[in-house]
Amino acid sequence: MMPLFVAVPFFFAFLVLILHLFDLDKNVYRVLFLTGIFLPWIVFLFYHGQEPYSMIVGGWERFSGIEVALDEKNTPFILAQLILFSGAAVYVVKYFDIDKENPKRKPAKSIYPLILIFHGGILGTLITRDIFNFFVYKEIASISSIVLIAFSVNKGSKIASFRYLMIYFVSTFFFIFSMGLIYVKTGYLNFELIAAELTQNPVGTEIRVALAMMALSLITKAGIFPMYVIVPEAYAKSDDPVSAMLSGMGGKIKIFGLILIMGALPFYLISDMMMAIALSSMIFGTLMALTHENIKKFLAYSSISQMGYILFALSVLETQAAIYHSFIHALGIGGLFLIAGALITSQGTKKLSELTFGKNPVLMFSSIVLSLSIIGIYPFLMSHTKGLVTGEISGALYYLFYAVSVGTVMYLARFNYHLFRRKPEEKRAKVSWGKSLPPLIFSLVMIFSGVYVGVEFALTDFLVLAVGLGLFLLLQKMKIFRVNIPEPFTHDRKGLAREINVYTGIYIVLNLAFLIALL
Amino acid sequence: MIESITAGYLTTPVATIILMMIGLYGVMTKTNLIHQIISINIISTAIVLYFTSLGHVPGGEAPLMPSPEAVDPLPSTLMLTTLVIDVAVTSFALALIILIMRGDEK
Repeated sequence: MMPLFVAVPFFFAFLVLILHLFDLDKNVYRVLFLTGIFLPWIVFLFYHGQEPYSMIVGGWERFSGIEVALDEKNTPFILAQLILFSGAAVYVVKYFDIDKENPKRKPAKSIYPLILIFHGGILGTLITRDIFNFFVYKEIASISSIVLIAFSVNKGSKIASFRYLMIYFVSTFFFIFSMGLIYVKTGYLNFELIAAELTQNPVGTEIRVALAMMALSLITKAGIFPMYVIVPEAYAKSDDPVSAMLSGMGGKIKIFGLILIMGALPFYLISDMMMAIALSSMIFGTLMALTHENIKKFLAYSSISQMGYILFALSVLETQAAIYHSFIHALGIGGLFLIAGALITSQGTKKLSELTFGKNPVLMFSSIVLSLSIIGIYPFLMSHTKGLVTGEISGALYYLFYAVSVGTVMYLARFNYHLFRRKPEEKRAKVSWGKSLPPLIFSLVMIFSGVYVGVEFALTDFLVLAVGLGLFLLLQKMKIFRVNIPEPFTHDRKGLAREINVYTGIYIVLNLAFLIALL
Repeated sequence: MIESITAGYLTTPVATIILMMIGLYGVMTKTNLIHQIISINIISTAIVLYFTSLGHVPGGEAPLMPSPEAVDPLPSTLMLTTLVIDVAVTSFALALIILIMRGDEK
């Protein structure tokens, strides 16, 4: 029954595609779409309480079959995926059916199958314990998301999609190559069997090369600095619910891949290099988020920073913190993207300084709760997560971690400061319930998750919050956030080609640096 | 010496690395988007070649029946999936190039 996690969304995607040929009532497609999104909940609830549970599809031997599992590693990811996509699906139905302002927008029945395939691909990635199966589902999820980016009518969406596609696939080939090396060395593709084989033998050159290539490939796909380039434009140019799904779970499946690798390969060999990348991503994302005026790019850069935090947790081998952080960030950033989308649609601008909540209490409440949950203060789960990570570090690293946390408070304060301000032509943000309900549900989940885990009060978090707010108000008064950062590449096909050249070069240099350090 | 180099298990890693480097050179230097797609396809060919060679057993039989002397069919089978992904990606990328060239972005 466990493969139904994947089979159900794919089946309904197929059904919508077939029925797409007939011009049926839009409610038929809508019901099929929502059924495909919500039915995996039943499978999840059926297995919930039986963790850890695993099975081999078809009853084969483990070495030749495909193992699927539900355990403490993937349950929070699956839960985040189900909550995020359920909320986003309600939003999608409203977004593509009601908004008829742009006639070039694809009809909902063309979008539904892609979102269902995206959903099934992510769920498949999360339940599998086979490295090749992981790769296949990851590709299914990614290709469908790249097509979804291109389907947007926003100017620049095709270029964003092409950039994503090219850089993504260069790194994909390195991933496949490293899979081959692992298979040659161990004879297995199952993560657990690979781990068992490697514990019996010394770590050879092939495994070191495979580890470096695989980790870098996943980091690139997750959009972590310096390979962040696919993220800002892709999130900014996508349709609003697609941005939420991409930022929420698109990068998390690569983090989950890193967690699986940690269990099978000697990850400690690259933990220092991972930490350097994580810190640079945290700092870069924070600085960019502090200065960006486009609300969706602002959220994209905040996502780059938060992915850095998650990688940092992995680099100090604090897997539990990375899992919790992924859960929080998936719903936190997903909810903020949905809020941004609702405001953009109702007010017709993407400028952070021109947008306002007006007098919409639901969006105000959701935004504050989601922001605080990402910042991480009592009683939110992130406070516990930060405690786990800081317990593993000391000295300058400890203070650097908290300095970046102050930066996180500052950029989220900036986000809320602009949206809470009354604008000259004050108007109530006319947002339908279908659009304001998902962020509200996400924010309630954030509160509940903190209470459920039993987060302890930490004074440091409130100090970070106070320092961040104070610094933000000071710098806002000095108008320091109005910095125009020039874009290094033009937004045409020459600029696109040059960008692909440069970032492929950076990717190769990174691979070489990792290999030199490891060999 | 020559015989050992020309044996399948020695030549394929070398060919794979050469093909990968040609492909990567193309992606890193070409400013024509179609050339970049072709370069990606060259890298893909290198990977398929490498994986297919992994199952090679000198003098091995076709894996029709279970036999210790049969070649390992798993890597070749896996490459079927990769090839399907490659075809999908290439066709989609070419469609995107058409849209970008036609100016659908404006």
